[in-house]
Amino acid sequence: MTSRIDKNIIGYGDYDEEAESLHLGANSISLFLILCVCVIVAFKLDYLQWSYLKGLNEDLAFFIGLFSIIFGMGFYNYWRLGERSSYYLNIARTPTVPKDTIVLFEYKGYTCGVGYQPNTKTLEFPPLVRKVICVGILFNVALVTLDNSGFEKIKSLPSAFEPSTSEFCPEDDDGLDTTTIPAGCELIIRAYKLGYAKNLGACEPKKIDPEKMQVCRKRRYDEPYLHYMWRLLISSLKKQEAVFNRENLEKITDKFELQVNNLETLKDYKTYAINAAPRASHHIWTDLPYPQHIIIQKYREYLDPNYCLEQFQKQTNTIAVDANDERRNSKLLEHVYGHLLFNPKSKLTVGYCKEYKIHWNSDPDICEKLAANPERVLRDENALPEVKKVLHRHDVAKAILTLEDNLSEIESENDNESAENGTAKGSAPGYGEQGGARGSHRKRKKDVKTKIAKSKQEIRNKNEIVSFQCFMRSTEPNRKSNVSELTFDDTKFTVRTRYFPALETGGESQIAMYNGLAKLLANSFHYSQLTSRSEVKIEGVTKETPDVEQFLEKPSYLMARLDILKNVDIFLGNSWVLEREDLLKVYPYHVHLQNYVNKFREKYQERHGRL
Amino acid sequence: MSRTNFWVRMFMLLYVTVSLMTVSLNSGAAEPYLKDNRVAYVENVLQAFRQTKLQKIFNTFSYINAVEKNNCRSTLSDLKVQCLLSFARKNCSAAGSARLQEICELYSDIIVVNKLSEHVFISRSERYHLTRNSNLDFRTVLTNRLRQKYGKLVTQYTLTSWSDCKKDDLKCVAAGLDQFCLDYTNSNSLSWQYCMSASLWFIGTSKQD
Repeated sequence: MTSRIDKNIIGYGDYDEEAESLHLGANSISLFLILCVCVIVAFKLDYLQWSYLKGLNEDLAFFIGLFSIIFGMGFYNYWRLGERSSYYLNIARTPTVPKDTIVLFEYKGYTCGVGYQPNTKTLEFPPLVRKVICVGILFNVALVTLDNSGFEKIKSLPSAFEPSTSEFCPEDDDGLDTTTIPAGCELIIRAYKLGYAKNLGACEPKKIDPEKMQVCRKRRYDEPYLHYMWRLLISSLKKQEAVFNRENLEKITDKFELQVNNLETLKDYKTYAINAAPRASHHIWTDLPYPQHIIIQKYREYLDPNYCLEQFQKQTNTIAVDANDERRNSKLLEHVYGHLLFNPKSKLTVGYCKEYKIHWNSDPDICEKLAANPERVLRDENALPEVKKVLHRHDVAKAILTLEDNLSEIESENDNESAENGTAKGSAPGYGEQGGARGSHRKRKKDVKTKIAKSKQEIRNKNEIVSFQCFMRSTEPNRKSNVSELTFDDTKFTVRTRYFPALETGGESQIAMYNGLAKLLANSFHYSQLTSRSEVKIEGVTKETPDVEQFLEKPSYLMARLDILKNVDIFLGNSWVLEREDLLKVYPYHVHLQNYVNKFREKYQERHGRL
Repeated sequence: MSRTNFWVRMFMLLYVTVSLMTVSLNSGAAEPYLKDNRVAYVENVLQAFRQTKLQKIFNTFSYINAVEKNNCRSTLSDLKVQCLLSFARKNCSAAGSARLQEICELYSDIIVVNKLSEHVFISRSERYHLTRNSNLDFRTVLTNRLRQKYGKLVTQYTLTSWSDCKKDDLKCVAAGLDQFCLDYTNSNSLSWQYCMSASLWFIGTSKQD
């Protein structure tokens, strides 16, 4: 009974009834699998979309067809895919498996294995189907590897190897014209020649100074290759001679030795740049729970490290949180933190989200522990390697600047000597090649100085690129912040703990979160009427204007009346707006939020930032 | 006795009904920007555009433009809003019946808001380029460009699921526009009333008259 069912399932062909086994030819299986992989890859990369296929230009379409047929048939013949397979995949009832079969797996009384027997009758695709599969594989390969622009580049490759006319000196040098006629002046010049105009005005041909013209050192059209090569060699040797004189050699040796002595620093500097190592490490600890489920949070942390870039790119102005959601404060904190530091709508960029970390679910006294034993706490929080790397990068950057300074000193010392020698020889100042060289040297020296000075300014202190803060919930209203200090890597860091009251939902909670977090990140930040975008109320002028709240309660001109909210900054208090759910819905958050964030970032970047 | 009871009961019922109505009306007046009130207002505006001839609307538009340029020039935005509203109200008071005055106030509101939002839709530099690169008069060029921008906004709205409304279902359109503009203002730098007025103006003046 079972064997009848099996036969029905397996269908026609090379079913060994006695052994109750099926031999599938390795050639056919391999071809089929390769085709499947090719089709899946091409499909995933959108190369099998009808719109893409329609967009292929005719030359490329013809080429892909030709390529797939020729190489497909070549593939078929070279690998002798038309012959019967020597290896086969054997599917058989477990007791009937031949002894020489390598068993892959067993399932419900059936065994799947690989066997080798050159003369075994195996189940194969008909030869025509195998040929079609080969062509199909090569078709997919060609489709994935070539597109319209790539094919055009291949087509234009031969012409790229042809020498360009711009590499030759112009042929027409005997009739050197020392004047050029400005464009569009032909008629005026003709009128002048005929006596209709007294002068040429702006069309006066400008004379070319033959002294300023340079000798063309490119290849001439009739110049043999060997001659041109000889000329290039001689000019190169002359240049090398000028470079490798005794003074320069000394300079090069000194510079080389200096660089060898700082090899480790140079290696670290390059490694950090290539690995895109962090340039800052800022940490905030909070006792709030994760804003998302821990699995999602960990997935993003380890498997999607770039998630924050996307998340803060598309932030909305406000966030709606459910009053019953136990993670509401965490969500709010994450939203506010994104706006204050990373949202690209603000004109100032102060941080890179991958260099900032909020440590959720932390102990309320973590900052005290951190101040007492920074290395241990940072290790426990998996922050130590990053912090150490950033601090080391800072040291490397400083060392590199000193190195650059020393290198430029060597450069300038030798140049000074050569300049003094030049003056001693009695050359007239500012005239001839030596005068020019001195001038360019002075300029170069100035450039180097400026560059280094600027770089030194840009390097921030260690406690500006690494920071530790705590943002904790408190049941006591208006609980004062704690400030402690810790020393790590010979640098003093201030650790600030700020407490915020448990927040309810609504507009008031968002504003409280903004103010709390802004104060934690930049303690000197203060937002007032002067920094707000709302217009300043002037005594006497604004006295007669009706109260804004009453103004917004009138039933007519509902939309025009809302314009007045532009001058009601909720970041300054104005609790009456925060209490009105209807107004909060249509409140122009973006106006005041952007201003608030800009002002915050101006203050924040004074003390914090990146290397 | 029973007759007296009946009248007392009727009086009590009437009192309770009137009280409830007053409370509900007051709450609507106190919070005119609640969702239902907003949708009802937008629906009324759409209705007002339908019931008014385009020429009349454009006359009001020209009037508000002139007033803004002359009588209501102020650097203090609050004063400007109040000035424009008082002139718009004065203009509408001459519209005729109370119903016509109400209709006039509805579309005047949209015109005033669009006037106030001009600088948001067309920045100073864009305004400069428009005047430099066109042969037409400035006002026409500006109006055409604004119309393009309003059209873009309405196109974005029609691509959302909130625009799935029957042609005459103004309540559905109003609710859809309200939701679209709430979302738009939350993700972009455009106030709700600016988004709403721009969309309403484009929809309202796109009718065949």
